[in-house]
Amino acid sequence: MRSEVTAPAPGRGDQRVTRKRARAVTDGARSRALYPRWYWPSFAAPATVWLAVLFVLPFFVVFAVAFGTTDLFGNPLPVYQPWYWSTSTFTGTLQRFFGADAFYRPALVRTLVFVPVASLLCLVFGYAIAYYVARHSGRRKGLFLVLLISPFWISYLMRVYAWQGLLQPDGLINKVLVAVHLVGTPINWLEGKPLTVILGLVYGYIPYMILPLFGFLDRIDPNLLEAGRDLGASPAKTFLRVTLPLSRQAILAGMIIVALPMFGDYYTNDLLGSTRTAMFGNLIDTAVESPGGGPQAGSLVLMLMVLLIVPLLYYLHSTRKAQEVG
Amino acid sequence: MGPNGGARPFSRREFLRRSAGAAVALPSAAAILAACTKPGATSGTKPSSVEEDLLAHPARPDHPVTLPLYQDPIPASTPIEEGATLQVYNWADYLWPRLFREFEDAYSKYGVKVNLTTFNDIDEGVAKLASGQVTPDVFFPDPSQITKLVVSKLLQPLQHDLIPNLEANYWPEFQNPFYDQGWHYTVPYTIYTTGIAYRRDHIPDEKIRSMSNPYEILWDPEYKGRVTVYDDRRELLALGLIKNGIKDVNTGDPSLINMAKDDILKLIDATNAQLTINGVYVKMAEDVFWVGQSWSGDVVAAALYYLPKGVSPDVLGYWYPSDGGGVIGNDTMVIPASAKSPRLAHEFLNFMLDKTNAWNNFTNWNGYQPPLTSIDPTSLVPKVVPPSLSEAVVLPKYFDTGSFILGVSPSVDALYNQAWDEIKAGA
Repeated sequence: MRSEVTAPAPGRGDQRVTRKRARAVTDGARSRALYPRWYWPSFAAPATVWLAVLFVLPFFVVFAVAFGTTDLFGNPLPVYQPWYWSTSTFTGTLQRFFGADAFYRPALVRTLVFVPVASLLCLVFGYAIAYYVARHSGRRKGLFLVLLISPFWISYLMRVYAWQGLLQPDGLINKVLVAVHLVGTPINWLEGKPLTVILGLVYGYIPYMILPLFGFLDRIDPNLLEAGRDLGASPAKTFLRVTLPLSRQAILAGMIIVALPMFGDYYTNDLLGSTRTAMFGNLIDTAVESPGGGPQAGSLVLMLMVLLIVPLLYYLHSTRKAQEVG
Repeated sequence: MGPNGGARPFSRREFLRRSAGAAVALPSAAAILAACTKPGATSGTKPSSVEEDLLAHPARPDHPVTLPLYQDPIPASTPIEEGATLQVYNWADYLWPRLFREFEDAYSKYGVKVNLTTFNDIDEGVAKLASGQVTPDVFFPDPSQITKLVVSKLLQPLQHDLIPNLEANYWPEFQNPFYDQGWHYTVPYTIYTTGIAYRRDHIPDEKIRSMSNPYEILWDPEYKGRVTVYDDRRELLALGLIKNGIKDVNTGDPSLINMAKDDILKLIDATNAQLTINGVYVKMAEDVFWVGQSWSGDVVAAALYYLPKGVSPDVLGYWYPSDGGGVIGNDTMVIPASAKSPRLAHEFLNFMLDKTNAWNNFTNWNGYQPPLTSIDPTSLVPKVVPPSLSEAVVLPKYFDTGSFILGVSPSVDALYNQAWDEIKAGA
């Protein structure tokens, strides 16, 4: 939000802001006369209720489960009173990451490798595609956009099942690889290969990268690029000095949009990997499915949230900075 | 801020602050309300000392258990519920769907329907029953769960007069099983062994049978990428135990559980084994996996039903220790206390224990053998079971020598959980 009241922009904008402020004051006075005090705040009620019911309350329940207990059958018994909370499961879970027998650590390390690598691959491929569609697709732009969105018409699960068939030892991909003598014997892609899981993640999340990038790139004023060229920059230099810096916010947004859900993803690994490529999401999944694993699953969720707050804060910080500059 | 932004009596920041205030206030009110109850209050009454003893010393073949009764069975004169829908809660693909239709036909004058709900593994099945997410009339747990279910008052005792087929048709050991003496709560459904299934087109019979310890074939790097084991906590750790000669697959010895866990991790390392539930009956039938830990019924079902058209069932082989000293098990049918149609549920149990129905269920679809006295196990080959799977036939003597996976005390259960978490985390 550009603050019209506290920091008036210099020059011509100054007058405009002053005029606007004057109008705002009279409007404000009139609305106070016409409407009761609660009138405008009440407009926030739907969003507030939404936030409370679907975020704050469930978040509190996660705490209540993580620091709660379980019944005879291992069903979680959430404890809603913080003064009864037991932290033993939470500290026990931390031990599994950082203690002497840290058997959760490999999964954490894998997550911290797979997700950034997959996000970067999403960016590299996604940027190229978005750039092409925004700049060079001409009148077929609509068609390309439909094609980009079309994977959403089929459930991700269905598409990954199809990949399972394609990647099997006697599947189409191995048949092609063997036929063109790229490999001698079929590769077992599904036996817990990090590459398969990373490519699965890229496949699953790349549309979420392309769409925001396209939105940004499509809105870059062509006059800016022409100006760059007029001033003697080569196409490569125009890209590096004009297009890329202008799309920085989109890149950041796309990275956040794909990386955050990847951190919690467990089904890609379930379907394309094995226990040897288990990620953080699989730890949560296993805990949820084990009898008595509720508090542990809750603890893992809280730890994952702490982990995710770091990139999120960076994103918020950098968007605010960008807005201040812009 | 939009062009009309100035019309608001306060800034957006203030607006957000106030909304956030309301957002915080709502859940705290809920928390204060919730604080009126003590934690754990929903878990019901405290177990008595008898119940605690039952849970701490679960049933074993040499420690038979008579389960406590908390209510009387329904009277035999209870009328059949008219127009009822019988809710059946079972594993997926574990009962021939046609039998549901036949049951509906047999009771058509009462206008009954059958509805099936499935669970993916028994832990999930029991957890959902206990939490009340499902209220079935008939449920299919294994013996390891029975004691917990009974002391939590989740099952109702059976009216024996309404289930004459048990005594008429079933092996005597299941009329007085060690996990439920006097069959107060359970009737048997199927019996099975856990052995090794393999593709005979890739692995010759002699190879596995000439090994001094045939379980080691699952650790053989020659079959890298072609090995499947069960995605089942207790079954997989039981494999780690029994391969190392530990017959007590319910051991509470942490060093043994640890050793089993380490050996399973070695198996996964050596062969890139996949943890699956349908690895044998679907994926071995499709030639994806060549060798795997297998319930006898899964490999029979693969041969009966899941092989692609034109593939001979003798591509499948099954090994089980010839002395009978492998893992064995059985599933049961029970009636939950919350059943809405208990009389109809009794009728269904008796219907499933009918000789013909049990036989049809086994041979047409399920592949899991019922312990019928009318079945001469040796005559099942080749009529039902192909000769290459002759060891998948469950013999009564296995129940004298085999190892049952059974309930363990909560502290031992935690050890198995920890080992399982480590395996699943891919450490």
